[in-house]
Amino acid sequence: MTFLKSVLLLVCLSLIAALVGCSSSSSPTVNTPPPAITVSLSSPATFPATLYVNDTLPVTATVSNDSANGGVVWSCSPGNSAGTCGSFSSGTNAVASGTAVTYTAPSNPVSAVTITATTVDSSSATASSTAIAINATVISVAFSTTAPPPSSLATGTTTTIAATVTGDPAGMGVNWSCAPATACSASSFSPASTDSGATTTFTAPANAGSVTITATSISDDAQSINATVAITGTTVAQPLAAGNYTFWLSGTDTNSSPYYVAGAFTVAPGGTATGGTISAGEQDFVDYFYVLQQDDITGSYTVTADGNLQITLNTNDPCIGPGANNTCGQSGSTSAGNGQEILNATLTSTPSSATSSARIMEFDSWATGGGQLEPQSAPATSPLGGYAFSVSGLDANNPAFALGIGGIINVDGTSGSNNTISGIGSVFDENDGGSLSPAQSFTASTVDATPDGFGRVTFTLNTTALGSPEIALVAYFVNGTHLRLVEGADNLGGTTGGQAFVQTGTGSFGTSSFLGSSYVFQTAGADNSTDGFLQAAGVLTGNSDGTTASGNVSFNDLTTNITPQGGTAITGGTYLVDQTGRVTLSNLNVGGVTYNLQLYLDGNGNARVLSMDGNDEIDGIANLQKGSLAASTFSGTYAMGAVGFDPNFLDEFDAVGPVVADGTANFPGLVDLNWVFNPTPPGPTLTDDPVTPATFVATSTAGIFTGNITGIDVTNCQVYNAGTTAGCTNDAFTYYFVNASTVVGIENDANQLTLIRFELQQ
Amino acid sequence: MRHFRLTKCTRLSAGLLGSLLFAIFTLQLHAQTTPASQAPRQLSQGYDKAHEITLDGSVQETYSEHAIGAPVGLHLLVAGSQGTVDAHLGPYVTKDTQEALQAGMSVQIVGAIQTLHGKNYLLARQVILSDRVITLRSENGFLVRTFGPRASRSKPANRTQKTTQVENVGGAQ
Repeated sequence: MTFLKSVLLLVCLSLIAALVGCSSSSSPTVNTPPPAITVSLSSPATFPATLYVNDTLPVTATVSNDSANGGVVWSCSPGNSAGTCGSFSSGTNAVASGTAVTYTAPSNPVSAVTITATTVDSSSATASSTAIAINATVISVAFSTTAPPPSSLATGTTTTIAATVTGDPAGMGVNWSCAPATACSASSFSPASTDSGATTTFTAPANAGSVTITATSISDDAQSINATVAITGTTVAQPLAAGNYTFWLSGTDTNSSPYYVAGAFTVAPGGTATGGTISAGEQDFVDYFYVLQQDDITGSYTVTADGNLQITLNTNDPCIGPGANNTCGQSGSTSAGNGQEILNATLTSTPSSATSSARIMEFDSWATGGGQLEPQSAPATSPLGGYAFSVSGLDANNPAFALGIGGIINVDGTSGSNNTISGIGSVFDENDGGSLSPAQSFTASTVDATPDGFGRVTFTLNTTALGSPEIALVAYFVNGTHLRLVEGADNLGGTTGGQAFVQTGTGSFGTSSFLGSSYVFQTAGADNSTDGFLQAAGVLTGNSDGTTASGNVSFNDLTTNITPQGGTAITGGTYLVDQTGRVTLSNLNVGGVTYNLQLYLDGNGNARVLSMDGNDEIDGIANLQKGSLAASTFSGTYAMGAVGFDPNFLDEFDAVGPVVADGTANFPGLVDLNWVFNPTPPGPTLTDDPVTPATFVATSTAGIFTGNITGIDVTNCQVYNAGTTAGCTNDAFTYYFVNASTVVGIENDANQLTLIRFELQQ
Repeated sequence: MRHFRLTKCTRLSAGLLGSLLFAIFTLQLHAQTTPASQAPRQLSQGYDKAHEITLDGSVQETYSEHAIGAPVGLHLLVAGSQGTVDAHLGPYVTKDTQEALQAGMSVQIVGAIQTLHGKNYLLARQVILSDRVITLRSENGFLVRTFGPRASRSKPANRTQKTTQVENVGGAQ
């Protein structure tokens, strides 16, 4: 071996030794497998237990650890075919992780379908849904037979239509739509969603042509019905459709007296889009100083710039209107009224509707008051059956006390004539300045045998109670459900007005008539506080135990009683329903104040209300609370009618105007307002006053909302009171939802008294 | 210039005052943070006829300027054996009565005390003058309205049954 070979051998041995040494100091080599591919169904988060045939459902699967991005293939069982379990928009192709695919249910019912996503790698990992029952379609939609869509409609006019949904346990109703969009305005329907059988008002497009009206089930949007409506050439529609209307007002006149007016008038055909003629009518009026019976009416109406109506009624009675005074009817009277009543109106129907109606207010310098205008369809026959009524105002004393009377008048015709009232089944309560006469009886009494041409009758009620006065209530029928009342010439001598509801089920009421029901009420009157005015609103519930009552109430008398915003829950309290429909609510504890209220039910979800405790005398209306009470139900254009009193002079103001509720939080609008006693110009009558911001937000109690309104504070808004620099206050309100078309609001602060009724334009 | 030394007593007072202010602050803070629905304000029941009093005194002053939270209408400041009382007569006092009530004249007032925003008012039900009795509230404490004479309310003669120009009374068309 040469030396060179020896050196090479030594080097080789050293390298081997080094390699051996290195290898002995390292970990042994391991072939780690990649993480397992998994798959999950990421959408929907929860699969439905049921679908209807042909329903579609977006589904998404997410694959993890799939470095090859192979995705998934969708399948279903049983049978994995369109006919047996359904199909997928991806067919049998793989789709990437996270890609939405549409599953379509089979066209026939299947008791249990499972949807599966399978990865396309060699592991074939799967994720499956829970079992889904594919049910046959049970929901169907049809147009109502009583309010079907017309085959044709004139441009710009309205009609009411309805659809019924059958087989929908969720009772979701329908959405309304109109096509083509270019022809149909966004506000073609009001409201855009209705319960099954409920009407919506459709406004025809402005241009002639043809549109398709569709009602689609909300629960199953695959179910719908449509109709084609021909839109015919241009016609000029008058805002108040021709026909008869009943109107009613209560307020304060410049005799410093409460006053009440009820009447009816005829809108003549032949009007234009901007106004028309009132060809005839009659009214009854009462204030403390005089009773005016059956004054003839003629007049006119015009559309004002803000879309409201202004109605001028001419009575030619010198006791009415600017120039009239409290000497009217007396010897040597100086009263020289112009006989005019100016009414401003905000429609609660869509313009030109065949059933035009409105919130109204007196809008002149002689009186301010609020009320309602409704289309009249008075019965031509004698009144018969039960009438739930209440009236309030002042008694005949001087000085005069606040007076309220409520009860049930049963026209039972037992004396052989339909227009007689024997007293059996009738009952009434009286609250005269806190002196109470509960559950009194009528003796033999009468009502006019037949309404006159304007739906007017007089109830002449006799009693041996209360000093045996004769009580004359003049009534104007609105329709078969209710009448408007003013006290006529009688020896009770009161200054009162109110309303009566025609009862259904007269004499057969009982606990079940109120049990489980909630009624939203709004009332106004007097109390024994320092300032003497009281407004109250809230919700009254007859608990299921058949005895106890609950609910929530907001009271405001400016000084003594102001419940907090959101109202105060009723604690304690009981109810008792007698067979006449008279509900006695006793010991309603509202934050330490105890109230007793009477409800007089009509059996159709309406009632009159009268307080019967020694501390207050309030009366008003109550309506059954029903339907959705979510914020979204307060949506659309509403006529807002407000009545209030300022805090410095306790003088009345009234306002009407349209507000637009957005279904979430706001309802800005404009009002016309009359504060006839405003001591500082620019009053008394003002138009287009902005109401904004106007807000509402839900409380923890369903149907009760709170919010604020800026713009109707007569003391601090300069637009009403030139003598102030304060600026409009942002007044605190509580709102009680009756249903989607009616909301009641009441002010909860000492800035002023305000009670509001919102009614949907429909 | 006068200087005050912080004595033990004043330090104690200051400490008590501080505690009180802290307590008030805490209560106010609590009141501000407690939802109204959880702590409804206790309401007054109104005129307390069970505790009517009769006050004899002389009229010191009449006023009707309204302050926020105070009762609206005419007030009399009446000096009697219990000091000066603010008697509230209300917003419906007739002009004749207002003119008759003069400073210095003797009056007897029947009414009930009510506290509003920390101030006591005598809600007058009757004011008795030497020559007349003025009723302002009912026995249950309701304000009453006084009016002048009114026309007879006898029934008018029956009128002929009226008809409308729309022959068939069937509502708006």
